[in-house]
Amino acid sequence: MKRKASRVAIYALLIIGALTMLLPFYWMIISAFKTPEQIAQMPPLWFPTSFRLDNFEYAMTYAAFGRYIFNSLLVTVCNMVCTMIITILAAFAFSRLSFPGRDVIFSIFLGFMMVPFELVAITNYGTIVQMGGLDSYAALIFPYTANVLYVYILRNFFLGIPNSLYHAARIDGASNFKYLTRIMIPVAKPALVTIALLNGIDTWNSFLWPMLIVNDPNMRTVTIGLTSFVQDAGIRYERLMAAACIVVLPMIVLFLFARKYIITAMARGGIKG
Amino acid sequence: MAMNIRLEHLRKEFAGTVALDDLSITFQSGKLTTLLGPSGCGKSTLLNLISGILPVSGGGIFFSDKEVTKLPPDKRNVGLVFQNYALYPHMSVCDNIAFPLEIKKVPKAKRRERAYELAQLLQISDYFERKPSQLSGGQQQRVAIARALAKEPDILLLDEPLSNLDARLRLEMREEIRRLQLKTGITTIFVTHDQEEALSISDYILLMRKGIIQQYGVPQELYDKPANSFVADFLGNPPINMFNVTVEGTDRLATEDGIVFHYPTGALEPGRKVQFGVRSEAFTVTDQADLGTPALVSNVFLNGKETLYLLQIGGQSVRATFNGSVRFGQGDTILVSVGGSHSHLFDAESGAVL
Amino acid sequence: MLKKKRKDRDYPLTPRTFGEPLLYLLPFLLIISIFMIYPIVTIFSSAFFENYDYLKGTFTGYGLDNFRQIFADPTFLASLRNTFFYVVTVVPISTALSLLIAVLLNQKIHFQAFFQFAYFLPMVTALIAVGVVWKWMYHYDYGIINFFLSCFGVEPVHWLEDPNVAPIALTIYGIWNKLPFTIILFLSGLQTIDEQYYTAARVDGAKSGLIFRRITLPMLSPTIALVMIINVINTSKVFNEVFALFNGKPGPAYSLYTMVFYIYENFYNRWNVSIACAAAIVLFLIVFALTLLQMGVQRRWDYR
Repeated sequence: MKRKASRVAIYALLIIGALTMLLPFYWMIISAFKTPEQIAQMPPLWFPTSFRLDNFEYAMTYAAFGRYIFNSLLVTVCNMVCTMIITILAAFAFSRLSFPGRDVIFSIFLGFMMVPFELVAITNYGTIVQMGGLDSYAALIFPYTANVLYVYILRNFFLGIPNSLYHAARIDGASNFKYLTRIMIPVAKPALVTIALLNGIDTWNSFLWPMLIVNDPNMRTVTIGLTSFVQDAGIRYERLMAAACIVVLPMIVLFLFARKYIITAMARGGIKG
Repeated sequence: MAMNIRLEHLRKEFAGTVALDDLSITFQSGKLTTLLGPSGCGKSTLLNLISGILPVSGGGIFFSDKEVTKLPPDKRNVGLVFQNYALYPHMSVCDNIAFPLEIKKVPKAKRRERAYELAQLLQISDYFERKPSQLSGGQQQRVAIARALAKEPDILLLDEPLSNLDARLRLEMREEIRRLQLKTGITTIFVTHDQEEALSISDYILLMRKGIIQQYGVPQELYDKPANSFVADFLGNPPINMFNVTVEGTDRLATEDGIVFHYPTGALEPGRKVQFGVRSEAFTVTDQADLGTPALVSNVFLNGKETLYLLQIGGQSVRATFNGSVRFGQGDTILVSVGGSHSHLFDAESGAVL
Repeated sequence: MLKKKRKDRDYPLTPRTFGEPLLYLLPFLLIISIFMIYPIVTIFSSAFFENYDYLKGTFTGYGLDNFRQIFADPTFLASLRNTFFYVVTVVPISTALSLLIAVLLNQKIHFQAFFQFAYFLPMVTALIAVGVVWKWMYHYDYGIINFFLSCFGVEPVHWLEDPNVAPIALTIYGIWNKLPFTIILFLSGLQTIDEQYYTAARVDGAKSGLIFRRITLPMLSPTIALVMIINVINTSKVFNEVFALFNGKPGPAYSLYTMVFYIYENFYNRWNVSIACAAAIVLFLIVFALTLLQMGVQRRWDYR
């Protein structure tokens, strides 16, 4: 009996906690379907009366969220491709190739992880200004494609691949580059998925950097689009929530499908990040 | 056309320690040569120098007339089979075998065909589309060998290929490797620390110790005519019995506890201390009291085809096998004499055969 | 043994030169020099410039002037206080809650997928977007938080408008935000504890409370230390949360400056570059010290 009671208590606690965690998301979604009258209703309406899409339409047309989504997608995809290429090549050099001082040089780079991103971002803004790169896709994409944490994760994975595989490939006639593309990359798929997910989620959600770089409304990413929408549409919360949905829902969907991968990735990246 | 392998004054150092020094030897073309020796004797180092995985510190390596000393492994056209197989885990058996051909840009259909032939040769064609993780150890080893053969290498190198297999598979794969080698006629270097494996599989054996060649020859020669006490000790099962003895005239050897063997000592001066190596099969039972050495039977092991006796001669335990139908029980005292062909005298200091 | 070691050694197949590796490293080095090394050098040098004019690039000399200025600046001191308050409220509370939830989730329970989804979702969603949602939930007239309070007879609170309450609103959002990540770290820590200890303790008749105190807690203590340090590092960089809740301003009536917000404001809106850089170095030193602490803990953890 006592065991059963404690089981019930565990589930009760967990469910209360889970609902608390989900509450903001639920609140966001139902608010996005409400009419201006319903949004100001007290006590609040817990279920929408209809799935009216007016607020979404407004966000997509008047606030050009379509354009923002396109920008965010473009930046996220390009950033991911560049990051993967740069990370793979660097991790390969730091694990498989040998050059004088390799490990010392790498630990110096590891030290860079301590420098808060926010500080570097602010100075980099100055660099971009000098380069004349404000409001450009390049400025949104390239500056954060060399990530020491990702190189670190991948290098560790590469180091775990037996040397004999490398020797076998070299004897089979493969060059270093061929070995990297044909053997190492396919074998390292789990680590690459981890990095791609961490990077993709990070870029989509990134805020400070695009906020510094973007002035032109046409160049806004979804997060910037949302904050400027807040300035413009200030008190129309049903519209704001629709806009927030547009920013957040793609990640929710991604999380639904790749939950296990993302959780592993976060745990792996977490210790250092 | 099979190639021979010539090593000239080969030298290898690891961070200051010398692993191999001034090693010169020629491995015969089209033959299977075994590099044999205990752990750390330099046999794997030597193999890795030949394959190009390790750079040499000095000297030269030649495949027939072609110098390969400075060539990277991919330019030497050797096939190498690893102890842990080193199969590419994400590729099917077919792709593994065909990988060297893929690098050579052989058209896809052609390399599949070639891979299939090799798979048939190694009796793994039933698993052609499987991944390595779905195969047993023996099957993985067959894939590794097929892959090594796929590029039609001039030389096949095998680095302890059987040590990860269980006893039964080991025997099977040993025969398999020998069959393949005879069939293809490829110059083969086989590394092992298992003397029995070496004796059964090789055309030639190179026995090494601490980076130094102990003896090089056909297996029978190494067994019958060991160059020194280390060779005699390393080869043969049960291991050779060693006595520390003193020469007492032309046909007598005496141990420290006064046991006497009647054995021709040739021209050795009396009083010289030597090592007396006697293989188990060199003992015979005698009834001539004046020529025999007394021995106490302390244990009897039935071993299937023959019987192994553990004898007590003086204070020393000795292993002996006897021909014919002699039968003794535990506790019997018998007289034994030592026959000529599987017994040797070695210098007490250098171990060289006398 | 010896032989195995020798075999596993990393044999370089290519000569130890910079030639080929440099080709692989080139893109990485290029990006990191421009956007990581150069800014670090800039921050460290301009923090010591005196009378620095960012636009003209002129300065009169080197010195600690900027540091003297920021420590005399009430706004900077307030930002230190606010950041400190945020850290010391968010970290302990989220750590304790996460530990509880992680231990519960680590039991053999049903609906794992649902619970994982619920507890970990905030990890993947943009802080800035969820911040807007929280802003709506904190709404004085129509927010659900005041509605819930009214159910218990509590008067509505000016969460985001009252400078005395705003830090608490920020803290609550911060805790909600930090929970998922902390739970994940605890779960992976819990999974390293061998099941055998629990079995043995249960055979010995230990109750679950005792098992938690005598087995789980001690074995998890390195993880707890590590998690807390990581969270202190992360929370001391709080910025996006403030930006989202308060419409891009540092709290009601500029009362809720945090360190990063102070740096951002001085650099981006006021062009006080040397002041921003000096503040950045203070923040960097704090993070640096904490990271050293973290590495120390991690090393001890690894060798356990």
